[in-house]
Amino acid sequence: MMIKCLRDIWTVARHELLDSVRGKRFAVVLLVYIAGTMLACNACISVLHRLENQISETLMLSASSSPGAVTDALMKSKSFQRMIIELVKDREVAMELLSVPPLALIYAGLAFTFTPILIMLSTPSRIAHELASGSARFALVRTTRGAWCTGKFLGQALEIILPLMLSAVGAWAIARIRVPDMADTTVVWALITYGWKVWIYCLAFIGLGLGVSQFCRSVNHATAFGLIIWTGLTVLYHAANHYAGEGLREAWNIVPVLLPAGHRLALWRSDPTRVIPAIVYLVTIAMVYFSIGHIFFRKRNL
Amino acid sequence: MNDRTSALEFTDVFKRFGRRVALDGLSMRIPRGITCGLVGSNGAGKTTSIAVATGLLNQNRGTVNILNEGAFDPARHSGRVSMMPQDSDLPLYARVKDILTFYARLQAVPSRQIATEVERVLNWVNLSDRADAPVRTLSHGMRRRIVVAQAFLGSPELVLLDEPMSGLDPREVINIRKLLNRRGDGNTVVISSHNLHELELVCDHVVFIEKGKLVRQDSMDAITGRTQTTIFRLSSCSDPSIEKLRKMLPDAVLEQRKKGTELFCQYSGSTHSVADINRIILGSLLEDGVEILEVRRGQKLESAYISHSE
Repeated sequence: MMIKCLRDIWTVARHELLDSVRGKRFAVVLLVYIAGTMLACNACISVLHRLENQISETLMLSASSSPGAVTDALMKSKSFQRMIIELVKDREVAMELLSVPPLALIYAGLAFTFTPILIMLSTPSRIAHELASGSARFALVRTTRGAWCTGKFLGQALEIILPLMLSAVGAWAIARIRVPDMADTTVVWALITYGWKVWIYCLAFIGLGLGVSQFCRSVNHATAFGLIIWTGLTVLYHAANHYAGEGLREAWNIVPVLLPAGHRLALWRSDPTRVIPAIVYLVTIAMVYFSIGHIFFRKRNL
Repeated sequence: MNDRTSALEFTDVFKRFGRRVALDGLSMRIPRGITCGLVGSNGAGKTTSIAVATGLLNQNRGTVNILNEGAFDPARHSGRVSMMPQDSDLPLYARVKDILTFYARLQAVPSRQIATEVERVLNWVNLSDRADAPVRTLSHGMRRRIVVAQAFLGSPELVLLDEPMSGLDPREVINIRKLLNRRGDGNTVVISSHNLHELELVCDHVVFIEKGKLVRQDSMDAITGRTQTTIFRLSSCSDPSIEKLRKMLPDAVLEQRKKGTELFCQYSGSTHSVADINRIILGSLLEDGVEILEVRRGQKLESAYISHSE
């Protein structure tokens, strides 16, 4: 029984992946995402170059002719480090970020911000669409609802690897063209590291999207419901950070733990004692969000 | 009612959608190894019955027994029970072969047999040349045929079809009829349909449902009376000698119906064979110069349904 269940999960995941990738919508979104990442990286490199020149002037360093030429010197300068610490408000994180290649920071920043949006625009419709068209019925007389939904989750998790990977390649290609010195193996490794961290972060949003999808029977309702919930969670996260304090207001500190955004900062870091708990929390959050939807879905009329 | 040979059994099943009662204590038993027609008016509860049987809808009360192993459970019945839903679309971007392969995999058809199995069902519905086409490029009728085909993947023990003939052209209706008549021994097919003529041709058992309740269930022979009734349709100006026929067939019930245009003959299969009845009555009618338009065994399913639903 267990083997059949695992086999069904993998069968559904594989089909889900192929079905998602086949659609024109996916191709368009993928292209927009990759192009967006590349353009944003290009823009950030230009901004970086302007900043380098400004900071070079301030720190009395020689002006650079190409972007990234004085980045190492900049990052090693105490004045710049003080600036970053002041900006991040967390010395440990700031010091760790200073050792990360700027291109990887740009890529991770974009991926942490935009991939959840991409997921929340596409994932909530995955189950709702099949319920609306009735195609779910063909599968659900052949496998359990649990295996079908878990397969969908796995398929979506695999699907998101493609834009993350291709956008990393795109970002690296831009860097290779504009800042050849920046695009070395350290950068590739940093891109891969942040790529899989973003993937882990995205699992929570896939769980949220599919959790929402299990409640809905219309694609439009599911997408709208997903965006509302996502916005609500974002507002809640910022409210919790704003209102957290001493005494009774300490209760607000619990809220970020329950939200994906509450674990994002830990993923920026390289210290495993910070990263691993964040991963565990994010996977748990993904499962909880997904399961809330599934508790309703496993008993619902189809 | 419990019997080792039942394929599908409903006991006092009640299903409500808001205020509307779809199944109102429905009890029925469909034996194994038959083709059973589910007949009823719109909203009688046919589609709901199929959805409840396959676990897509949860009943409010009552029990459903599938293949004598309790309520439908995909883990237990996967590969042994399949269905063709009425208004469901296949995933549009999938290729025909891929989607059938996906369903066959879920149905636990052995990997090495999947390609053969997909080819077999596609051949049945005459769509093997469209195996690599995306579903969205197929016509409505072709999609319906794929939907019928998927229900027969892996030769399941119980197949539930909801309006399988709707949207098909006459050639494909004949083809599907042949397919249904070729079902394997021991396999059960339940067909919900409004096309009573088609049901009469393929089914050997009928269940009448009205307002979510069982009206009657029996073999097609018993419901249409085709093993003990022969109807002779005559032209309107005919005047057969009934008294002469009654003397020749004293054990049979002979009546003129529909203003004399139908001669109805009911007999016992043990005392008269069909050949006897035809020889005696047709001989007498021809001798009297009566114009015979049609000879039919039993009444039409349509007539039987109308008489039961009134």
